[in-house]
Amino acid sequence: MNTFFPLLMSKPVLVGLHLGFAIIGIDFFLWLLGEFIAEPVKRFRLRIVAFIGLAGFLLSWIIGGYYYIKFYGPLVKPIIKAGAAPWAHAVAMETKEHVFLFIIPMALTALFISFLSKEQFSNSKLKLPTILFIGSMVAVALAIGAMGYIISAAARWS
Amino acid sequence: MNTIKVIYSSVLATIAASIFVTAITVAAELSPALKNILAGLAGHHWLTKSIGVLVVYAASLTLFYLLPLKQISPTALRRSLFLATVFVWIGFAIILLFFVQHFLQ
Repeated sequence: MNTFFPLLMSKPVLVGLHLGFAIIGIDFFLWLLGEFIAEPVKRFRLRIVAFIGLAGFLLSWIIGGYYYIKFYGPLVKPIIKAGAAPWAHAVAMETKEHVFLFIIPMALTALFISFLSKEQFSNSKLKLPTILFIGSMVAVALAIGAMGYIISAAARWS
Repeated sequence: MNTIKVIYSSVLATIAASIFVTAITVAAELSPALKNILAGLAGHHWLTKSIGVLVVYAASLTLFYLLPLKQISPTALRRSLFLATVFVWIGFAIILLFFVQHFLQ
């Protein structure tokens, strides 16, 4: 425990966990997208997938937020701003940290939709708007991931 | 619990949250005083915005769920979900273009 917790709180591990949980969120919501396209009668798997996707994004948010406030601000941001690509912070990070705040309400909404029965879902003709909604959430999350890569690259090669 | 009403309320709350995030992001960048106030509330401006979006979403969802709506038509539910998707993309575009413009100034 004495070595585990400091290791868990180290910068590369935090970034890795932030990214890892985001990937879980993206992958599980892509899975959920597939479930809504397939429209199974039994909804239990659909709900589990939505719940895990939400949990992934929540954990990515908490871990990323901790890293951002504790390490990125004082240590990484000055390096990027003084380097060859200051826009990596000024545009990519600033956009990423704010657009991410759209994701959790969207993920919760997708989770609630998963609680509809097949009949309710079909009668409400929600298939297309749900696919567009979840697809958009995934696309936004992927864009955020790409911005994260830009920021990491700018820090590494400054 | 009325699942359709929860979903409808959540969709409207998502729209409210996206408007809040977009507005507070631009406003805080244009007003250092506001940014300092946000930083003072939770220790960091982004942390205050994070808590703020959760509060806006939860409060909006509760408010919309408690509204005495008799029945939510499938059309209203579909349209609100389309609208939420549009609002998210508009918010994304505004935030991205704002920071591009801000950097280029």
